[in-house]
Amino acid sequence: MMQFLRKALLTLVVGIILGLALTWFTVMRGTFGTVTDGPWRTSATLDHHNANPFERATTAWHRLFARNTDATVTYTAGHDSGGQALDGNCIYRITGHEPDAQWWTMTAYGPDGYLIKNKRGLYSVSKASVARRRNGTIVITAAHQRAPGNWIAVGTSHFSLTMRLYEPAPGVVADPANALMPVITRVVCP
Amino acid sequence: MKAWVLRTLPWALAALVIAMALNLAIVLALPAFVMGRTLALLGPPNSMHDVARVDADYRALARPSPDLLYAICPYDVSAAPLAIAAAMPRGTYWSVAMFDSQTDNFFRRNNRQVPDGTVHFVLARKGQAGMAVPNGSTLVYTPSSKGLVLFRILIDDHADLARLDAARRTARCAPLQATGNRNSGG
Repeated sequence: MMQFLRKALLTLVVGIILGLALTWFTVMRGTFGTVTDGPWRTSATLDHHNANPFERATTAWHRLFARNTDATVTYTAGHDSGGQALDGNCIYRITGHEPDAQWWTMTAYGPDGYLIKNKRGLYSVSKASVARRRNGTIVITAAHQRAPGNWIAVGTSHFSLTMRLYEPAPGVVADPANALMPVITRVVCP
Repeated sequence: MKAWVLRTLPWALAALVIAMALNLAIVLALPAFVMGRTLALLGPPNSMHDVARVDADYRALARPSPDLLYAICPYDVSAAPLAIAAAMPRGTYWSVAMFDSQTDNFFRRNNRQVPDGTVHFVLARKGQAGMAVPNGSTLVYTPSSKGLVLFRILIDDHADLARLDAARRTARCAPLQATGNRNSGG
């Protein structure tokens, strides 16, 4: 009897650990039902209220109220183009062409998913505020300390970047994995 | 070896069943948990919450955009339908989206679909009795009694902020009386 109870308890513990691991893999990682364009991740499908339970749970946890539609597409990057987690102790250069949309914004968030406090109260760069190079491309620095040119303030811990595209081109809506999103390069770390 | 496998296999299968059941239970419960937590942060339902420009101290919505103006109405239509109205601005992107208790976006409109920005909705559960929908209002059925209505206005020009914010402040939500009139306030 004791042996049976021990095995039952062990089975329960193993089952719970496996269940939590499954949940992390399917929901908490935030990759279920998404596509990537370089380091940028977005939902693979347009908003609909017939999502399967796993899509719904992933969206609720990672992209609450931010499902893609034909009027808005949202990308988030938690890693640079080399695959390393974004770290506010480092300096990053975000380069490339502007997204193909009527309007876009790029915003930094802390590890808790909220805006990052900074003295200037600057949280984002947008189509209206960005300074462009002569060839039309953009260069944005993500760093804790103020940087010349286009600058997004980040904290001194892990951060993520979200790009919101408003009235995106039909090609972006149809194929969000090939929107030619900017490259995120780690320039220097202490 | 074979005997060991035969003895262990039922326990392994049981562990797998427990794992899948736990995973599914969490997956099914998570959206309602997230929405419930959000609604609790926002406070009493059926009235518009005035949201100043979001900043680093703002906590009611995760990943808020500093380039959007928000008007948020947590709703509870279990007692009565909800009348929703707004005069959204021209010349910029705006949207109104409704989310049920499972975080599903069951209804949305934006500036392309409503060019003049005039919004009048009545939100109700199917079969809700004693309801007269005012003329000019669009009836929208919610899958759940509780949820959230979210207005968003894009700040595409900071010089235009006063006009955009004035439009944001026109957003209203309030319980609909049986006569078809809205209650005052909200």
